[in-house]
Amino acid sequence: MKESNDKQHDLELPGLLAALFDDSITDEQFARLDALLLASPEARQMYFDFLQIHGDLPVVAMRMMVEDGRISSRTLPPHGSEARKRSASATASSSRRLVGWMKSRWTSKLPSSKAVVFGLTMLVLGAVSTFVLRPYFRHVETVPFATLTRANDCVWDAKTQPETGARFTAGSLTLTKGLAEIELANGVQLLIEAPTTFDLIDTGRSVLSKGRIVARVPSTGIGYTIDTSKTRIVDLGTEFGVSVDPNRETIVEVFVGVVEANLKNPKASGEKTRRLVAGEAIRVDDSQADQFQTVSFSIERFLRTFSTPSSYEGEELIPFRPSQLSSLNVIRAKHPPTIDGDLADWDLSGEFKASCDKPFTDAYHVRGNMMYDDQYLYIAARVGDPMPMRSIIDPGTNPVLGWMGGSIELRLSTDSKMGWPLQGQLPLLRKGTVNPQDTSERLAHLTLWYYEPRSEPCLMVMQGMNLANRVVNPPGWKGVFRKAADGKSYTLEYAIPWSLLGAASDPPKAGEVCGVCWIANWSDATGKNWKGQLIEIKNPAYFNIRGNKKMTFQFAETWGKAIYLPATGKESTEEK
Amino acid sequence: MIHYKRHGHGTMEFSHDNERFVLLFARHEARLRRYVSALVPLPEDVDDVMQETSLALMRKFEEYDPNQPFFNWACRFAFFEVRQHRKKVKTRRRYFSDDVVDALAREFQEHDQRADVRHKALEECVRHLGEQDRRLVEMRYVGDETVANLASRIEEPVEKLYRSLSRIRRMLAECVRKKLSVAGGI
Repeated sequence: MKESNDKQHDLELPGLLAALFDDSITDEQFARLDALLLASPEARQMYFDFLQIHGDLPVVAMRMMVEDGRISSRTLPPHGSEARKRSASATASSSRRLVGWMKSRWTSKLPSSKAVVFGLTMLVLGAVSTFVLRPYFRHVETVPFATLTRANDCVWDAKTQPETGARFTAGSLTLTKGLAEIELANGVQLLIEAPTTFDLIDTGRSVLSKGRIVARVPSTGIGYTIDTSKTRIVDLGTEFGVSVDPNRETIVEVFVGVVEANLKNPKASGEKTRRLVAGEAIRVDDSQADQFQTVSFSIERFLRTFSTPSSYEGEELIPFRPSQLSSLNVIRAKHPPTIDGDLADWDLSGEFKASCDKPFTDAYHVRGNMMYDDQYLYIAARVGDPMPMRSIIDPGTNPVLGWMGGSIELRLSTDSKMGWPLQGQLPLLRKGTVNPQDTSERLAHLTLWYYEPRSEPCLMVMQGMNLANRVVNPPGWKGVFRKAADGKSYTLEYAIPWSLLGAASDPPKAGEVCGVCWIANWSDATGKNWKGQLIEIKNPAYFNIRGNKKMTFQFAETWGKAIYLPATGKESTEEK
Repeated sequence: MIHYKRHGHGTMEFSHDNERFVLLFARHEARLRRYVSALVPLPEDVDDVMQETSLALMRKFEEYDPNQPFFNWACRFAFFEVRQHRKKVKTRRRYFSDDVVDALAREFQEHDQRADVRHKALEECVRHLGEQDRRLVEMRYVGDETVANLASRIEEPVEKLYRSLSRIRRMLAECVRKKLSVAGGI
């Protein structure tokens, strides 16, 4: 019986799996696949085998192409850019190398008469070069396997400065200024600190000539190798740093996991290989006969990450910048502003400005404004963001994560009688009697973000410190996002009716003080990964995050003051 | 000790040692994705399940015992999310039955233990493909192009390409099996 089953799945399974992987499977075939997988462990083994082949082939095939030299050394600017269009013509010369293969493929289909073969061959090759080879070469000759995922204050030694999102094929790169993160197709992340010169070889290897690289290697990239002139460092699943100084001295330091360091020119009888675990570091100097020298591990030796947003509400980490502002003036609107992403009709006299710490100051900053009238709370922000309005967090399915892909969040009270500091807190954390503020609808949490796939401004509102009554894109509000011409910042403008904030009949009035806290969130190039945060307008008692575990979503006492003021009669003097 | 804080409605913010979670998850994400991919046939479903799993892991991270393997812990959540996802999409038919999902989940780890060896064997096998087969693999996989698009572009019948790719995968599977067999891998 087992033999019969084996034969059956041997016959049927490959075809069914091919249909599954090539997305051509029918419902009947799928049902049959399910039945075969249920029937025998051997079928499941075959399924696993084929699944891995299907999953591994992109990386394996790409590596072959790199080794064959069929991937060119060229940086590809982002799709659609002028530089990219110009680079397309550069494929022409390299395309000739594949003509032989294409020729053999295509001529084999042609009639046998030599004259006809020749004529048709020329005709077909002409058409092939126009309609077939060009799209083909976008894959073969210029296949990129690395992406510039983050860049801060970067200057590259290149004619065209790659922007975030630029894709790289194999080749040499020199970063003369700044900090850059490159992610390879297999998930390996390289953090490059200027000045650094290195060669991207493929998804399995880079060569560091000088400078500093920190590699974070997921399980898909195990075996990732960094070569220096003296040493080959092979990852065994880890995070590690490698530096080469001007004297060609190599230092390897392991933060997580294990690496294997191999000397390229070891002493005849000396140590050739050393395994390093987390917390260990070695040096190989420029002596004739290389040898490992153990050096002390130093956490400061390498820059391991862009500053992380967690530092802000956590402790013992370097913050983007501690909060510095305790209050914000909320100006009564003389006329309701037009919600169009243009703040020319705003009174910006209450604006606050905040920037992240160096080296992020110029790129990551926010200017926030609030106005009000009897019907609406108006919110406007101008946000420095190298990757603006990219969020792919779907308001229909994941609104509670709307903040992660780049957003502005506000927490505020709408009832001055609650006083300041506020007393509300997350009920789960409260010891003893629950305070009425904990569940009050007069405390609101707003998330404002732009859902890029549908070009849709979004709003999520939750109430109380128990974050109840969640609504997403409810009726009655209006919001607009506008990206700056240089693509490095955006403006948002919202009008939110007081009825959504529990204050329809009793909105704040001039002279009243309520609570407010602003949070700007930045994402990476994917528009889904949270990479940075700035929190402003806080209670000064919580400016210093060291030892402070009270977070703004948990404790309303951490929020700063919103001071509601009468109309000033001012409107923006800034140019449209 | 790792603390991960959340509130009751799913919004979350990290405590000071969230970096531990990020590092652990990053290290195991690809493997976890392979696990989910084995249980869920459609790539778009895999993305959904991975997203839900990552959230569940973050929410429960304070319950994670660092003395236990993170991957095994994560698999339990992923398996649950696969089941949950199936309930959501039960009107669709491209979903393995519960019994198959159970069996695949049980047997995944044993298979995955030698994933790296298989990967290396696959590299060698691809090197031995004929020129045209290798080119076809490159076009299909490096370009991440659908078979239909590819067929249209190189003006080959789509059925022929399906057959060619199926044949190549079968050859590669057999080649990998032999290499592992020689190495005592099976």
